[in-house]
Amino acid sequence: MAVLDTASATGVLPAGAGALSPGRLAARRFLRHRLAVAGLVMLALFTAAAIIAPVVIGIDPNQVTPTAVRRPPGAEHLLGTDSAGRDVLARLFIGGRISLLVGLSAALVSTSIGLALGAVAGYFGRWVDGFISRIADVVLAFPSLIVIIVVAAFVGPSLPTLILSIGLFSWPTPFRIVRGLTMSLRGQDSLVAVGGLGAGPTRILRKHVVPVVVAPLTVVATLGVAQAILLEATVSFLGLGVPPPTASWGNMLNEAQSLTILESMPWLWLPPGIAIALTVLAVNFVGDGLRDAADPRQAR
Amino acid sequence: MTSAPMFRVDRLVTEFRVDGGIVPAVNGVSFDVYPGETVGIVGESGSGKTVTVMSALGLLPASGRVVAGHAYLDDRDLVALSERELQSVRGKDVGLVFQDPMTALNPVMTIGTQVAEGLRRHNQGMTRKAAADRAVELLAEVGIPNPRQRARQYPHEFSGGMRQRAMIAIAMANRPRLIIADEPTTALDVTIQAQILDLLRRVQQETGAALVMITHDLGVIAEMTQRVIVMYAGRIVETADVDTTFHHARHPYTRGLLQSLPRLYQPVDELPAIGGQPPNPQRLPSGCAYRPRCPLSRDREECHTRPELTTAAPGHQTACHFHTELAEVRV
Amino acid sequence: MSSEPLLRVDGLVKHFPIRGGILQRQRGTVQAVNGVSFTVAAGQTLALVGESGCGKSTVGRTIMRFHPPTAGRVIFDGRDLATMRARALRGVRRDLQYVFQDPYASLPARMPVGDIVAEPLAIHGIGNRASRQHRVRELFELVGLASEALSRYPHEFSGGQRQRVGIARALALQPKLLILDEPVSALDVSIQAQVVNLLARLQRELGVAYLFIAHDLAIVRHLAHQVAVMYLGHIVEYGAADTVFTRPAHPYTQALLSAVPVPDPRLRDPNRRRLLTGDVPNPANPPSGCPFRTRCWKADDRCEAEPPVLQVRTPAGAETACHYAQEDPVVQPAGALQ
Repeated sequence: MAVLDTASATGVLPAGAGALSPGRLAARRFLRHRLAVAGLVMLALFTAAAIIAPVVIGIDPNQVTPTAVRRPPGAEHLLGTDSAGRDVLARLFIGGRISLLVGLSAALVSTSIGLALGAVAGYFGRWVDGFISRIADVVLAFPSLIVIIVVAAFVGPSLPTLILSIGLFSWPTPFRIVRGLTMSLRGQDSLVAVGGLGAGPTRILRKHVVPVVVAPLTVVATLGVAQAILLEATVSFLGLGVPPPTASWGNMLNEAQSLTILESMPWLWLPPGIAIALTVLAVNFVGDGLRDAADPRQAR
Repeated sequence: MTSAPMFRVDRLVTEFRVDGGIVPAVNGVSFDVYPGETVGIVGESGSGKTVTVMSALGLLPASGRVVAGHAYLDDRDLVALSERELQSVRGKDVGLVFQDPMTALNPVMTIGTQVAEGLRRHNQGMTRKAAADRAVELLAEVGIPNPRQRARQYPHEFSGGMRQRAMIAIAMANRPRLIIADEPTTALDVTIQAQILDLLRRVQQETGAALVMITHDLGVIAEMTQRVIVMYAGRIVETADVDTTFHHARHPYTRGLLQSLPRLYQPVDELPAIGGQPPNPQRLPSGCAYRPRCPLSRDREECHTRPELTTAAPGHQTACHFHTELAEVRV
Repeated sequence: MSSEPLLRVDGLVKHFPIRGGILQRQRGTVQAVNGVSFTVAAGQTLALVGESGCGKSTVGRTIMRFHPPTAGRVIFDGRDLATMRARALRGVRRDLQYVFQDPYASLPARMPVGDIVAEPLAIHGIGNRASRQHRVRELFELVGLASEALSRYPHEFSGGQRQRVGIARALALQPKLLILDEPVSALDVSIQAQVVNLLARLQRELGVAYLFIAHDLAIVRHLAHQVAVMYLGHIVEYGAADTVFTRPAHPYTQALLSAVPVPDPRLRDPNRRRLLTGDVPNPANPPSGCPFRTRCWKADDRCEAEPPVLQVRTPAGAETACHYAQEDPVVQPAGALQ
């Protein structure tokens, strides 16, 4: 039973040398988290590879070669070719571009909506909150996968449709977080003080709520990226996501629908599968690190 | 006090591990407590007053460590004991009263159960019923009305003053010979504080226990204690009996503190305040830690060496190179 | 001489509903403030003292319109704040400011202190960036902070320094009245004196009035011209600080003053103290008649039936709310520290 906590025991805070913004302190805490740094490095590598590699390799990922269908990995095609004779490695890199793009954009959409609605609902409360929260509950109640599929089937699968539908179904999670944080912030002295100085809701939300909320929100956002990537993979796997001939890790996995391929041609589905798993893992590690960085137990 | 001290802290050193490195919290503290006496330890944040006692009793948080020194209860060195052995000391030989009962009391157990548990843990043969009955008696002894009903209530159903009384009941349940009270009334209203201090005095008189009062409130020190230990930056800077401390202090910090107190019945135009900021434990000044704020030092050469505790008079020790200069100046 | 005081509070009432159950129905009310009236003159300090639950903080927060009053008037500079609309209130905010108790929680953690102090100026559109910076430097100097500190963040400062930042921020708009809610309770003893001196000096130099809410009577004695003692949402004694402290007439004031531990062992006098029994009643369920009667040694049937009115009853001139008010002069024993 420790009745003493370190802050009260050591009394005065260690004064930083120079202006140490809370941002810089958080960055230091993040860098101390080894897995998070590893994840960040991995993501950086993947992103760099996804952007640069296709150009460097010089192979057209959409080049159909009917003569070289389903070739196993060899000298000419390092990871073999797929059912349409396209180079798997090139498609892997392009697919990375697409999957990461979808993941990031969809997360951006859902986080932005969640931030805006959450701040407003949390700050104004009462019927505004009631109204928005009910909408969020309704959205949450939908089986998002099925709806996304239905939408894709109706409107026709395309990249923007995919990004928007994933984004529009994922905003309740960041919304809840932002709303909760805003509500607890509302009672805090620092916010009451600014209201007492004569600040209106716009200023308070812009300068005092959003900056504070952004930190924990980043954590949710990174998890949203992971979730979006997985959703995209699922939908594309079912053939209703990223439309061919554009490659995405998900629609590369589409190949795995055939039992033969699954059993005897691992180079067609293992690379995208592993890529997805590693990316999601890396994103989750980064999310963990961000959570630790944003939650200082000792600094006050 | 001719008998031997029952509690002896000997050159205790404690430090904490934090984000930026090591924070020294207690830098070589030694003092004695004799049976039946009331000793006050006074200091501000960062003085190390609470950490000293918590170190002795094994109640430091995970980031804290006793690096050197001893804390003898009679002949046993508490610092060397295991957690298990310490548990048999706490609540039996030493009773503890903390500042915030809400963190020290278990919120999901009734008050009666908590008192009874303290009894049964240290009295092997006691039956549940006997412990429950004794618990009610104890609650009555500390002045809680309707003790039998109250024993069945939870801490959150008690007011602050009542909770503190319950804490005292738990602390004294096994008639410890030493009661340590860490800021026991700081969180309480002044009228309730008066009640609780009165209770502590009574408990001490009835049980003959020694009482160590840790506080920042010099008023409480003046009221309750016979001897005073003044701490600053993890060290003892002065120790004397209470009258000497208040009227013949020989350390500039003690003097400064006393002078800066606003007095209820002597309003002045400007309070002679101590300048500067409390010391940062991680960046203590070289030499005497009080040097940057000390009006006596005038940055003289000697103050760049750390002053040791020297005897100014029998029973009066101070850690100041120029304490003799203070002897002439009236408080 | 101006006849109308800067602030006049008249019959202020603030009740908080207690909600419970699934439908959040109102189950009762916490009667935090029950008809409180007082005035603050320009450039003077009125201290509102009392223990926890007496409602003093609520009075401060209600005057600032952090929440709307249940009833009563708050006339500040001739205008009633109690019924003012939000837009008009914004204008008033320039003249009426607030300093919080907790120096750790009341400053936004992510802004450098220079920006924090400049914020009120920015909110009210005063000056441009350069002139605001200049004003911030002035304010820093006024409260005794180094100008190098402008770009630092709150967490790099000690409690006392943060409190100075809070005070600087409150003074930015040159308010006429500052409400200070326990501004020094969270600080170390040696720093309290510094901040108290600062507040006294600022009042002398700037002529700003204070509504000083505190529980530490010694500090109040040092700063206040007038004192109002509160208990369970009512003012029980109200008058000049000197009078109330040296010749208290309400039993609660007497108990309160006698309970303060005096920092001088030679003045230890167990007989001096009036120990109150029991606890403060629940503000959701206050006693009938006089709120103090459950703990008062003078209480009788009249106290239960008839709530005493706050009025002058004793020669010294302070107002008391007690049927049996009687001055109890505090005698200074010889040998006290000077």
